Amino acid sequence: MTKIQFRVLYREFLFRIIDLELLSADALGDSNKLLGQFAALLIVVSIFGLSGPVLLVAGRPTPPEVWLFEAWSVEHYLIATTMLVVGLFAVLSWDTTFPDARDVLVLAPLPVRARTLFLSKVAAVATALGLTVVLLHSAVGFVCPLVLGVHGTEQLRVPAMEYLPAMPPVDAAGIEPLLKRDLPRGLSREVGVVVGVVKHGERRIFAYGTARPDSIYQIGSISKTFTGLLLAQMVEEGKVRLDEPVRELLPAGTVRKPSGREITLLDLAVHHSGLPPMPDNVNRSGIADPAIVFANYHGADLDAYVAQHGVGREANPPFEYSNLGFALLGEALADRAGLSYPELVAQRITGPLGMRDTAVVLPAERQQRLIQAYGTRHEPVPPWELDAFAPAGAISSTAGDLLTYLEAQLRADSPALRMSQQLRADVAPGTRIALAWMYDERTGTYGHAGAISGYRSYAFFNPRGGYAWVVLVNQPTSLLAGLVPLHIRQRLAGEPAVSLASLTIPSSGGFSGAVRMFPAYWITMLGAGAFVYCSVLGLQGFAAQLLPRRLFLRASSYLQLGAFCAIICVYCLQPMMALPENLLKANGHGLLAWSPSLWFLGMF
Amino acid sequence: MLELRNITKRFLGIAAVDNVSFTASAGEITGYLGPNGSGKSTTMKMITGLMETTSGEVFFNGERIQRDLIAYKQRLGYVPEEPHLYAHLSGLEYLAMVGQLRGLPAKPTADRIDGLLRLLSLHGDRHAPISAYSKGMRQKVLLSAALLHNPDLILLDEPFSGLDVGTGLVLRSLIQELAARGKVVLFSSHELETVERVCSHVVILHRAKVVADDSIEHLRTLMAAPTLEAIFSQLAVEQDTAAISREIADLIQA
Repeated sequence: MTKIQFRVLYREFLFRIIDLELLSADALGDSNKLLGQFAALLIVVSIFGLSGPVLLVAGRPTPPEVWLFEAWSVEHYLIATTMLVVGLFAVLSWDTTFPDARDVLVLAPLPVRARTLFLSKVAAVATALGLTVVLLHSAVGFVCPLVLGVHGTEQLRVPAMEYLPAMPPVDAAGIEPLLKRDLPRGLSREVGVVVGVVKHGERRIFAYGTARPDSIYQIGSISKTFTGLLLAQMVEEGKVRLDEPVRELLPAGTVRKPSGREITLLDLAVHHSGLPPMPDNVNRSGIADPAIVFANYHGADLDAYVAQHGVGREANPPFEYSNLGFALLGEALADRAGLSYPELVAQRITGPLGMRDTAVVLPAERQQRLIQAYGTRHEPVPPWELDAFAPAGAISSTAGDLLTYLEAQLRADSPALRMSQQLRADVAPGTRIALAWMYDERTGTYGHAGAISGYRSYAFFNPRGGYAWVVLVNQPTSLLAGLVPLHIRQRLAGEPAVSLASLTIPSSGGFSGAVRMFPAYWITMLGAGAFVYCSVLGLQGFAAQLLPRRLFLRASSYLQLGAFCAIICVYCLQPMMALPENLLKANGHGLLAWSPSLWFLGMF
Repeated sequence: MLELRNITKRFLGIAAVDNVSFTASAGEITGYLGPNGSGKSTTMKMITGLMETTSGEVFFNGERIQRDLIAYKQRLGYVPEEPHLYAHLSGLEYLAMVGQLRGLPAKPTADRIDGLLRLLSLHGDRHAPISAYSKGMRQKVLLSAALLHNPDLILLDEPFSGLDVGTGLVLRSLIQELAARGKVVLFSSHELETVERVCSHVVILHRAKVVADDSIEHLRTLMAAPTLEAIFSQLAVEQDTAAISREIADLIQA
């Protein structure tokens, strides 16, 4: 009897959820048609909304490390979207989970136990949710395991993406044993990393992998801080003014005076000039090799761009990182000084500070110490030679020389150095900018990163803590090397630190990869859906148990609204990309650590 | 036999039903009367087991109904005051569902449903959704659902609501027929003329308390009143109806 009642009520409730609650209050019995429409809608979403990103990622010729994170990002998107759909479904069918007044009035005179009624309701909603998940993944649940599973990757070592507990702040010498423990094992065999640390005057330089302590690296955009310091020096000497229009420094006739506001030297130095990241005449011939493209971009090209586009600017242009802006700033300063940009750097910065291994154009005798750079597929790549873009990124240096430079920044014993650190504009919440230096307000750290050819470089100094550090890498996709600057800062400051331990991701792909991927995919998706449904059900259940009945009835709709908003907000506000920094945050103590979709990504 | 013993129901300390006791016997139609808000529907809900009593007990055939509520409901047929139905189902589907939930055998029940729908003139609309039914048609569905399992106890709360004259007459005869076949029938209505015609015994409720529990015949004699309406007016109507009528007419003309 109870089984029959369960079956009858289950069928009734299931039909009613799909027919009325989800589709239309005016369904009026044409449920088969509406059920078909509902299924078709979910299948279309599955084909176009969900399968699209999978195919996009699978078809991209990206390096294995990058591909791995893109695949995880797609998986996270699918998990989060599943949770969103199931969550909204559960919230919209809020009143159907527990027997409502209509059910009580219709069914109470009948010989049906309350338990049978409740269980059949829960089973009906759960079935409807299960059907939704299955339909939502009807296409992508086949495409994703097949495509991503077959594609796979070779064996990779990736950072563990976890945090280590805090320990007392370490000194410069104390950094080495911390790095030595995990870093060398996690690097690919061609990668060479040099780390330089100075704290309260104590300097240490450590080299790992193929690097030597005196290896020379191209430092890319860290060069912009040199250009910023040159500007400060010339302002101090009265040769230029921060609010001086850049037009006045360029050769006469280069560009016409605009009618309104025009770009000043300060605008260029803080990326608030309104200029784009790169000029549009940088590669008109369509050459694929960026090394050739940038080497062939000369001052005349830059002047042609400026002449064509002018130097006017909006009232308050937002922050926009611009290599073009720094190229123009460097050219303008060099013109005013009557020297070339390399001469200006040598005469005003590297010469006085004794940075003998640092130059815009590396002399032949130091070329042999320039460490080989590698590309995203671990293939050797040549260094880039910049001409007009030199002030934005052409300098080569060593960890030792950069430490010397950063020590000077820490001392800040000249008005120009102090001026170069003076904060002048906003970049993003929590980040401000001085003359090229980015400033993190939370940690009180100035810093800049550089990326050129296969080189990656990081330079930071913290005047409050009296320490500075530099990390130089010769391969752009080494995720582990990218975490080293953060690890060092955290250890110098005595904070919990990101681990430098690595995990081995076994090689995958082929038929067996796809076979393994299918159960993993479906278990993850169904689990994610069940989790959200149980959370919503649990919320209702707890509220029903904890609150007096009258209060529960009043609070129920507010709880429903709250759950609805929470599900939407979590989906929209959390980062969808499973990038290393996001995965790190998810393993830390911040809000992202509370994202259920990332928990299920971890499970996957 | 249905027996209520000192039933009380309080909401926030206020008694909606206060110490009500009466008996409805098999083979007789008991009228349950009272003005709006006197506690009739609350009593009905307690008799159906829909609502628990604050104190007091309901007995059916000598057994507390709460002892085995499910078994009790197997023998109960209830037509509520409001037509609560699953409006997305058709009349036929709804009755089939009720039959299944009552555990009735499929084929005989289908035949019985078919017969009820024919006799109550719903057969032509049996596949239409209940949402498209008129109030009277819904009432017929409720009546069919209440009688489908041949109950021993029939509770009728305003069963004539929305019914056309013909069906009303059928229902009136049906109630008498069911009582004659040994059913316990408790019939709550504001239609005093109908109650007077079909009921042998009435219970009148006023301000949550029983003010009369007797046969109509005895009440007429006792209160020297010619009709049930006159009895009811004496016991449960405190207002001067003529004066109120005049006041309303004056108010809308002013």
